[in-house]
Amino acid sequence: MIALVRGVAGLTLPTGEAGAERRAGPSEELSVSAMPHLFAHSPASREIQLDFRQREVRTTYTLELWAEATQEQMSGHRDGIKTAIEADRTLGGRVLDLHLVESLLLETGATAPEPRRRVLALEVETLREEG
Amino acid sequence: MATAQQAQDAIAAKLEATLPSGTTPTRMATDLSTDLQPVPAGKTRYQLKAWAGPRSEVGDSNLIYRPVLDILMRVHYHLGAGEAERTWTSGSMHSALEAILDPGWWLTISEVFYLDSFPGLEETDVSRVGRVITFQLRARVTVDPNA
Repeated sequence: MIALVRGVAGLTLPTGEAGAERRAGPSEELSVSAMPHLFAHSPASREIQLDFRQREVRTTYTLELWAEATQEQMSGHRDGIKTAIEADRTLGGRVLDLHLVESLLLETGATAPEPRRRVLALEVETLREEG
Repeated sequence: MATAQQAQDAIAAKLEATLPSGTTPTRMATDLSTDLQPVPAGKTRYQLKAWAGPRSEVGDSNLIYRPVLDILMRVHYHLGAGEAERTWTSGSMHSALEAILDPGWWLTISEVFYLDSFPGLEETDVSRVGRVITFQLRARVTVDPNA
């Protein structure tokens, strides 16, 4: 999923953990050089029993994209991530489906000059079958 | 005299011989439930739901009646890793159905005296849950009392 976000056109994350981390981090400590920055965290799974002892597993993940950008630029990133998801709904065959559940753009530092630090919070869900 | 149990066993044996041997067709422990028994990937499991049907009159006699079995045959196949659905549905499943839908398939079973209704299935009798594909068909047979 991190690789998918890294591939979004117009969004260049710093390489390695300087740009993307598998955890929820202290965003206030992010330096300018670490922007834009992605946190991917909080996987939560629900399992539904199917016939023949099979299971349908739905897992949600939270993606937080931090950037010093305008609202319009952040909206563009949101659209870019959605387009990337729709272009690879199986994450290269790793899951049966991936889709965007919810997105929320939050403002921080209301008095800071533009482009100010903003966060785009996304909830995405994957679908797998087991058994 | 052949019993309903013997007729079921004979039909089950013929079904096992008809389904692809590589999928090790095996009768499930229950014929009525599908929730708790797994079907391993690449394998077939089947159920024979059978019950006594209305008695069959022999010829034009109103004195001789023979036992009848109503049968619902259900075959489940769990797709192998990476196997496309159509590989099964248009391949081995199609071949098996062609064989079983032939009345001759049933009439060569010694315990089956007569086929009271041709075996058949409809679109809704082919279904998929998760990676398990199921087809089911119904038939009504008269059990041969002399077998």
